Amino acid sequence: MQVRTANRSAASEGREAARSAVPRSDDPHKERSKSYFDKLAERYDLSYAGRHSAHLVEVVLTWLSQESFDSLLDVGCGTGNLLAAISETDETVRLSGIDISLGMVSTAKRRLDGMADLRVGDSEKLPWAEGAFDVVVTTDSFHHYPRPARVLSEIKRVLKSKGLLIIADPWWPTPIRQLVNLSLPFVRRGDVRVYSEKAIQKMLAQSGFSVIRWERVGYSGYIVTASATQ
Amino acid sequence: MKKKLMDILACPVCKHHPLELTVKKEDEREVLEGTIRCPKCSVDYPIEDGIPDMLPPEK
Repeated sequence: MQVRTANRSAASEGREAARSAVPRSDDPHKERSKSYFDKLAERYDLSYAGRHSAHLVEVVLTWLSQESFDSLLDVGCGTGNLLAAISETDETVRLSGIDISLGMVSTAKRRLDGMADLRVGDSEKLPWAEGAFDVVVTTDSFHHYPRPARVLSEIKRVLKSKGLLIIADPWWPTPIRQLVNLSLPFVRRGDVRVYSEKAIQKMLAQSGFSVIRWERVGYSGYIVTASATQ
Repeated sequence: MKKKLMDILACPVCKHHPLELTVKKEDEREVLEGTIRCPKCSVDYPIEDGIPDMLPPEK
């Protein structure tokens, strides 16, 4: 998939820079994530982070291929590679994406060319009506959320009854994961925490999700699926 | 942003919907510039280059 960079006016880039410069987050982790991904957006797909995410996206697509759905929201949609892949195989699915980084959303918009509803926003405050989606996916994003329970509550709100949540995120076995978590405050990319299998399962159950299935993905990731119980 | 998506759009803060769309510039496919207003919160969210910025105002 090619990221198209043509047709960008200087005025458009200027507005983008001005909007990105305004701090609008209520948490320093969010501000760091926004700043980091705004700067990385144009070259994200070729970066280590982008390649890690692309690997998880492939696994998410495999899981989604077994599901039947009419609408999907990608929380932390980044440069839109998941949404683009779905739109290429099924044009009938209503696709939406949200990301805190305007740079990432702008890149996704150029890639998707009107195939998805894209917004800049906060995962704790999703701007969609209750029960708007059959599926919500978050790939390589959940470890950036300073208040994950609030995000899960919002995801549950916008999911239909028995809707599907898929989280794919970094993971390492103990003690590597614990060492990574100790290092995160010094990395300043907005990462908050890499969760253990037990921790993410507990969080999902406490947030009202059921039928929780967790699987390790390769050396450095996991995927968990859960159903929004009403 | 396509106009028909207003049907599922809600205020990120109070969750009120429907929200009010003001179009300043559009093409045959989507709204390019404009605002989305929550009448309950009295907050305007800008649409620029076809992208709605739904980040709530900092408290």
